[in-house]
Amino acid sequence: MRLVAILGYSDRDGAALHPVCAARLARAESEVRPDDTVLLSGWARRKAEAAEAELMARAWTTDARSVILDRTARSTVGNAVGIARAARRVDAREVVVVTSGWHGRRASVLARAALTGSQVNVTLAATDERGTYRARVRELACLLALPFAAIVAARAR
Amino acid sequence: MTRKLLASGTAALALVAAGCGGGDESSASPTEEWANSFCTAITTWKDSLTSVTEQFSSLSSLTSEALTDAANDAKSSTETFVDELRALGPPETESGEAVKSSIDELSNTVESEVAKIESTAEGVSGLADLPSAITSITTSISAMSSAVSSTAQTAESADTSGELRTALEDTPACADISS
Repeated sequence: MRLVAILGYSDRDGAALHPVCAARLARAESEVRPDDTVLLSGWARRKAEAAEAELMARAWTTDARSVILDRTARSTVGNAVGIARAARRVDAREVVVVTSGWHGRRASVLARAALTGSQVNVTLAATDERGTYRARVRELACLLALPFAAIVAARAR
Repeated sequence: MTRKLLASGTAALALVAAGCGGGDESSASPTEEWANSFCTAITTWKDSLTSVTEQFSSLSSLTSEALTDAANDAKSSTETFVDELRALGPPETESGEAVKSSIDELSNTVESEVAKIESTAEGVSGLADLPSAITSITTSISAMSSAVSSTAQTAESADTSGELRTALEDTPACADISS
């Protein structure tokens, strides 16, 4: 069983599917096979809004074995913990993490950390976006925090 | 303001930009030498952090011990980076002291937030600890990101004559900063 996990993205500006998130979905739709289980992962920034996972589900059109929504993940660590939970639930042997190019390293490391102790293979399918200045500033700070966040992901199981 | 800084490649933006290359320093001015040291410190730090995470390319490398070692490595390389920033002194420009003060503030922020992140990670023992840990780490990341932006703004405001910007643009070690 293969689990394809698409990590949501949103900003403060609106409740619609963000272009960054749409690009991740498009990347995933070229990756998913009919026998895959798909995980759409991401929270709602405001209670009145749809979760990133919901918005992705509405836009999803590709055949898959099943589609799971994780509406609770509010960070990449949260995404990773949800991926590990879903992987155990569907007895996945492989997880494909789908996200933006600038986010891929961190996302895949945290997914592996959350799956520590399992035999699940984790691979990355990333878009080719380099990210905005703001995103790259944040990724540098996140790179510093990554080993510590990986410890959190590994312990929070 | 920040986007303008990115486009022009001013000093603090070196903190977030791509790696720097090498170059001939024989004819560099003091300000260019400062810029070179600044960019080299950033590149070394960024490369070190990248190297720390690259070891986690497979599940077999993600043991509890390896994660702890990686966290210690990240902390150690950050301490070196902060020490190097503090040791830089001010650039020999009209705005040198203001830039130095701003970089010192950034150094202090990075140092204190890393300590908080470390403490948070040490305190997690199960799923119930996850929400508060995420909030804490996210807050620290935001604080560091804000400190970078603040340093960039301060550097631009202080560098009224554009000396520092010119040095950064002309210094080979910072050649890739605005890319």
